[in-house]
Amino acid sequence: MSTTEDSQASFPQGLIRWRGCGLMVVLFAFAGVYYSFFAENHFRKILQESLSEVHGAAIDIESLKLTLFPPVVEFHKVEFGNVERPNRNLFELDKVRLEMAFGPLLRKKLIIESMEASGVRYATARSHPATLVYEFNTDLAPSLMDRAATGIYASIRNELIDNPLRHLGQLGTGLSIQSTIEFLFERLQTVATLKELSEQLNEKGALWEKYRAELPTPAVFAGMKTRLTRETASQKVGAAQTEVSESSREITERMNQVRSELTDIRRQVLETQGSLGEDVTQVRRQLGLPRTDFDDLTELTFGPRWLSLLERLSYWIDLSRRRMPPGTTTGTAVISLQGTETERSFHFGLPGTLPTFHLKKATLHSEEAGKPNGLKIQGEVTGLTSDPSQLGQPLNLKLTADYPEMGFRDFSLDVFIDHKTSPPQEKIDLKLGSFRLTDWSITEASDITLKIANALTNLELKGAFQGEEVHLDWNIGLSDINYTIASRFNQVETTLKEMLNGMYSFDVKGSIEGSGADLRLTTSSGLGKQLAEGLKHEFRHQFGAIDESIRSQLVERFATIRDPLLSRVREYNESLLPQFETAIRTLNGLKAETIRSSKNKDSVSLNQ
Amino acid sequence: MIWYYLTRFLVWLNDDNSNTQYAWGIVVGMSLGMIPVVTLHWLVLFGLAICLRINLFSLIISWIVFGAASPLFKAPIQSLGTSILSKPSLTGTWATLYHAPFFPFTQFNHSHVMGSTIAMILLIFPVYKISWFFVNRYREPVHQFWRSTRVHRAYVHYRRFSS
Repeated sequence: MSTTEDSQASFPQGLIRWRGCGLMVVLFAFAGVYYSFFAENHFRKILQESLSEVHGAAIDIESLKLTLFPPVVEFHKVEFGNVERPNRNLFELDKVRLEMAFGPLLRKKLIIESMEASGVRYATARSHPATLVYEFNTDLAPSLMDRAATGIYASIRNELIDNPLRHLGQLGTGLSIQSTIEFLFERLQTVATLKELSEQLNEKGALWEKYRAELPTPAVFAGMKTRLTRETASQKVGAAQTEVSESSREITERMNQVRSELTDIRRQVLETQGSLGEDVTQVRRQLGLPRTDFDDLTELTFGPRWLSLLERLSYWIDLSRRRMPPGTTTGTAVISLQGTETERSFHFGLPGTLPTFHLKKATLHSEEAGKPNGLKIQGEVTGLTSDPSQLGQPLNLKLTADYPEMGFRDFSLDVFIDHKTSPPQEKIDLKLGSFRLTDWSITEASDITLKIANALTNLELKGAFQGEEVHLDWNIGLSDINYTIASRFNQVETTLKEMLNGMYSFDVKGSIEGSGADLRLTTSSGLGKQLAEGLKHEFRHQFGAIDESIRSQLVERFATIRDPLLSRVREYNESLLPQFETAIRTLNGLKAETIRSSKNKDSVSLNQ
Repeated sequence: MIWYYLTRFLVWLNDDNSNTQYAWGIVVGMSLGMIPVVTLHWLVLFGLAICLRINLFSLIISWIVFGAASPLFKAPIQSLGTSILSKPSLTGTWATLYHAPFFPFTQFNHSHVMGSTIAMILLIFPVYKISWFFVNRYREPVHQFWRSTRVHRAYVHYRRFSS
């Protein structure tokens, strides 16, 4: 700190701090040392991390060589980890070479003039698992594993109920039907209805008792008779007669009401037998027994797998839409936006200028067939860019491959991505002439395992995505099929083997159509139909016996509530209604007597 | 011993100690704290901070304070940046700068960078004036206090006997 006198000078020793300039020179020298010795390694690590997060499994680059003049990057031994089998690579590239244009680098644009990849090998062993341990970057699209958990395509997911094959093992275990019924009893439809009717009967019963108490007593009838006689004697129609008529009418109405309500309650009690089927289903479900009313089990056995594949495909489509967004044209420029709602980056495209990133052409060429894990593959990618609307070209990817060692032949992939305008469009055409499918699970549960041990397979898949619309069709043909069937229960295993005996080939067709919440999955296969038929017929007797047992136990149990209810209704019918009828008869008798008396009087006076 | 060298370092940081140098130190520190690090204009400002005679002590303190405070204003700064970048009348200008040499390395097309740069430019003059006022008014009392501390007295005593 200094004194006040020193504060009067503004820059007493000149503007430039020469020692500071010397420090800047030292810093530049450090930068040079860093570039010479550390930059490549640092860049390699950053690239590994970023690419791994996008891919969803570890991507390892053994070495990287970077030169600025000319700007070339060479990668050696790039391993792409397999998400599903972390100890194996999905594929491995021996060498990747990128040649960039230098001028655009000064404008912060990465223009890759050419990219060549060679030495492709499939499913090589890894030195360490490919499972990621990084913290995910929330600016990137979620990884494959996160995506599967986000709950997209809920409309299809909700339709896929549990695979009935998983519960066949229940047939082999002892089913505790009685305890299940006791557990579920209060929640069964029939019981709920009967209890409701019982409460209704209690309420109405109280009203009926009140009606019964208001019926005229013999003393009241005697009084009515006296009054009527008096009126008849005076030959006047008066209040007594009116009273009798009114009373008769009221009692008749009440009697009809009681009779109708009793009839209605009795009818509803008897109708509860109709809901027995639903109660049986509920008990079956609680016991873990499957439904057997399917015509085709393909959707339930293969549906979750199709959904998982669709979600993976959607992940890549979503990533392409985020990283290659369609632009909006203003008067002067095409603006595309990336980032989140709050933190955005604007990309301004001008006609005739270069986009921020453009891979002009990438070629993939490998003739490793014959070598261990070697692939024969040819491929080309053009039009990969961060600003497709500015570039004005779609992305085209064409790939063909053969892997004879694994029986993998005639693979072709054609991808077309057009994000020049909104809505974005993507098309995919995938064909695989033949490959050996091994160890493909159809059902794998603790009680039962059903797998395709091996089969010769061909695959065709065509997809088109436009905005939210999805159109996806696939056809998988399987032949020379060997199954693996295992169950803890001999009977189930034997039955399944008999069901699939002779099923050496079948096709699996499927499609997904629609958009948003209206997506529909349709799929069918010979195997699915065979399994559905088998469930119905082969296990018919076992399921039938269980159903019968449940039904009879439920009927027995319901009777403990239904019978007392019916007997109360009968009691009311037998005790209450006759009293009403007696009262009405008495009143009618009084009226008839009154009429007779007045007629006699008239005839006597005429004779006189 | 360590206190001696620390005190010497603090004294060296305050070698350039006019009111103007203090005020510019605060302004440059504010700029370094507000603008995101990996941008071209941040690097230029950093270079200027080292090569020009401005007070380094006030620069460091200001950098820390504004760097700590800037996350609190992240949302309005990003809104400011987004609104400026999406103004139709400026699209042509941004598009030209986007394709110019070196300018894209300022990362001006990011909403946060644009917002914080604009906010920094708007604050330069008022922050300079206010800083100059407070430095001019309070440096003497602060200096007196510093001279009364044990650290400074021990430093002066040590220098007298060691030289």
